[in-house]
Amino acid sequence: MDPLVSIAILLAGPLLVGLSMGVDRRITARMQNRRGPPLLQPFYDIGKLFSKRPQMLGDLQGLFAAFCLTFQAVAFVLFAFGGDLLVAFFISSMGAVFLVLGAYSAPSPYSYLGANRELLAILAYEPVLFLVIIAVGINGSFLASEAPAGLLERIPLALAALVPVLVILLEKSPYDVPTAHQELVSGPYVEYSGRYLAMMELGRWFQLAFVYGVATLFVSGPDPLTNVAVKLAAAFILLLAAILIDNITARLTRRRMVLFMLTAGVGLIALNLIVLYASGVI
Amino acid sequence: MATGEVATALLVLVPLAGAAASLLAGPRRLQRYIVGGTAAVLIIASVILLLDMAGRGFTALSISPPEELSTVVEALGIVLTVTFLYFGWRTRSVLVALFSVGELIMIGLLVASPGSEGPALLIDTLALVLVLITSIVGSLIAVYSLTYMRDDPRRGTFLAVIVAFLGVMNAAVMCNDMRWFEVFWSATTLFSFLLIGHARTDEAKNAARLALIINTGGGLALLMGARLLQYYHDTYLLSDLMAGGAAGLALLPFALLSIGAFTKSAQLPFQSWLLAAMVAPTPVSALLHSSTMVNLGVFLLLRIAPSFQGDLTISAAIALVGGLSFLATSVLAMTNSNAKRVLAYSTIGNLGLIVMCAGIGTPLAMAAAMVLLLYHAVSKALLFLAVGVVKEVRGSDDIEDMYGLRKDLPLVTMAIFVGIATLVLPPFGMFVSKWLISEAAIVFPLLAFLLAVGFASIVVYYFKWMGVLLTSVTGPGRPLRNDASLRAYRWELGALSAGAVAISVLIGPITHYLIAPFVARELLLPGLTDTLTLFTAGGELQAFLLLFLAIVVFLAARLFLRPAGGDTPYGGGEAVDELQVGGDYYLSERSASRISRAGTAASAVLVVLLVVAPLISEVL
Repeated sequence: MDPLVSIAILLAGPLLVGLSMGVDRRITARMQNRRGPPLLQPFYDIGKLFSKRPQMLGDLQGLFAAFCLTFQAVAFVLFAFGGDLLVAFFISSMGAVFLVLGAYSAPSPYSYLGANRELLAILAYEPVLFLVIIAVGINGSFLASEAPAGLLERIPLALAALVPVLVILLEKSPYDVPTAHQELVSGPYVEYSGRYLAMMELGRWFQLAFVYGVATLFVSGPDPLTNVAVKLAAAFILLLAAILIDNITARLTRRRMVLFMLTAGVGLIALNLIVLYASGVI
Repeated sequence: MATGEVATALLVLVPLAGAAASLLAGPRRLQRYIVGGTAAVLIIASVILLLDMAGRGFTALSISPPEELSTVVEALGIVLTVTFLYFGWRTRSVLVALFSVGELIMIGLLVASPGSEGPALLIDTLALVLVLITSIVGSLIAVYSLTYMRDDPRRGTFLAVIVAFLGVMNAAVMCNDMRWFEVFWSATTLFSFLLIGHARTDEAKNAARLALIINTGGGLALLMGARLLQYYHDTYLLSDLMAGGAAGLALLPFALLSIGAFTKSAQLPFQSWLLAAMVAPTPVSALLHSSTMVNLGVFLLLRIAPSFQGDLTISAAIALVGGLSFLATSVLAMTNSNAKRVLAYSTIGNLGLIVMCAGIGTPLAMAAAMVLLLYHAVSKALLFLAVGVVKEVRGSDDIEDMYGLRKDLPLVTMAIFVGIATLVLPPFGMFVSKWLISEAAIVFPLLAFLLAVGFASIVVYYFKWMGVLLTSVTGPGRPLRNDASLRAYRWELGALSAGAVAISVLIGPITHYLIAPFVARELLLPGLTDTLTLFTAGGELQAFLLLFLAIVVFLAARLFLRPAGGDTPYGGGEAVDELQVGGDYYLSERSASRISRAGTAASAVLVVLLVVAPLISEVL
């Protein structure tokens, strides 16, 4: 892969995720008959957080925030430079673990409950994301730079399984269990402030960029321009699906979240692979 | 005698001599010197063996001991079996008696039917890795138990058995002749029985009895496998086995040997003995789980793996037993609050992964299995020893009693964190095996589904535990500077922590020099040779680069990120004086036991299939 392209992906990824957050807030506002914030509001938020003086409870929170951001960023760097998707997945999942550890290390009730729930969220979305990547690997290679063509035709259900994964990662109903703002304020993030909160948020952007990135591997266009266009469209459709689900559902319990992901989410991919084997494609 | 042969002899004979000396030595001081000296000799001898192997380019070293020694080993085997018979009578166990009578008959058949001649001992890199684990990790555990068992009236016996265990374990992994292997295998059964029953409480006695029943049963399967190996393949030597090609009844010996391996490695459906063995003192758990005993089963399986690869039913059944053991124990570990039990489940799960790899049998999977074996041993020993210190200080090994441990015992918490991190987190060694296994599993996608849920469960149960250690119930505050209780154990925990990190740094050379030669013995291995980046057919891992990055970020964050502390926690308007905590264990005891029963039943079916499949394929 051309290093310039990689660097472009690396820079564009988190920026586009930030922008998608703005789009998300606008669309959600319109669905609820509000005007919504400016499109660039997520960037303003990050900027403002960096200028604030942090108030933190635990002495390890900063360390864990740094690790969270680094692991997520490294995962996306690996993806952008065409590295191994499984390695990127494992590294990204460690970023999520440091979010949990950071929350545990603050002696605060909401943060503690949030951490407990975040672990369950990991239990729910990780197997599905792992299997999506395995499904990609079965069709050719685990290297992002050598992603086989025509994945959408071969494993469409794996792409569909990414929707609930995104719902959890975007902290949207019905699976906004860990951060549940009416119950837990913002769960694992509650004792973070200032630049450390900004680091956590950026970490989340990188994590989402990686997941959207996996989704973009499913489609490709004949020339560079259409290629970029269809890839962006694929990511955007996933986002729209998540927003729609968010606005028409209410929060479900932790148990329901885990059960749904481990039955329906895993089942979708299993079904897809069985069909592939039965039809002799692989 | 060449250097390698001297080292080999030392590795077996010095621990046995040390055990005898420890039994006879009265005063405590003397025991310290005996165990410490034995440990030092073992560590040095194993390193000499490593250097000797390195000097010969890591080619296998075959040793043919004198004829008289064979007779001694044979006699030892009979003595051991008679001892089992005696303990069967003592514990009123009909099964043990039946199994040991069966073993005696099998030994008689083995003596009556000589196989082809060849070296009885063979040290290749698989044996070398296991010798290093036993001699270094095992010695540290022995030294640890010097302090840990200081108030025990029968400390001498305890230490003697531990030290002797290391000797027979070293001997077992160097065996090439099944007749020799079986003897040392039985010796580990006997020693584990003695160690588990050490406390002499009813619970300990029952646990020891259970371990004896299952392991003598496994020993019988092993002996039957060895006899049939001679019958169908005309040899007792593991090095004579051909890769693939066996079909029909000729597969039966491998099925029986695998069942023996399952009992020793506590795979489902034979897991109960290892879980019950948790009543034993912590060093025993550390020894059984990390550096000896359970490794022997998977060692045998890795040795015979190429021979059953031709048959899809056998290899699939073995892979599934491993996969099921991994999945079931990972889920059960999430529902358990006892640290030692969680670690026990995790051991069975990790060994399950190795068994799964042996079943898959591709070079990639075999490499993954060896990486797992090595890195698991070091990290698991560290975790058990750290839990032992917690138990000594807090009087409990329940995770629910460990809230805020970081404040009271910062160094133990650090040791537990290093143990968990090296077991789960990238870029440490275990993660490499996780990655290798995942990429190896695509040849058998059903396994990927077991892995998916299992891996996520591992993250949940380990980091839930880590969260407990970090969660301070009494509000914010700095950890204690002086960790007095840890003083006694700082060398053992420190050495294992440093070792766990060091072997992760050395992952490149280790896969290149220690793992690739064994894996590539029969099967050609693509990639996996570069010393900085690991490659597979469809993937790559910049292990060294990642590790470097993690260290840089850790240091930078420690130096520059010092959040201002001392604020009050957010309580939604209410004052938070004390944090109300309570772990979430997700499943009720009933559903947990249902999962355990389902896993056991499913793998029992697979084990029956293992034995029946060769018969059926012979008939068809």
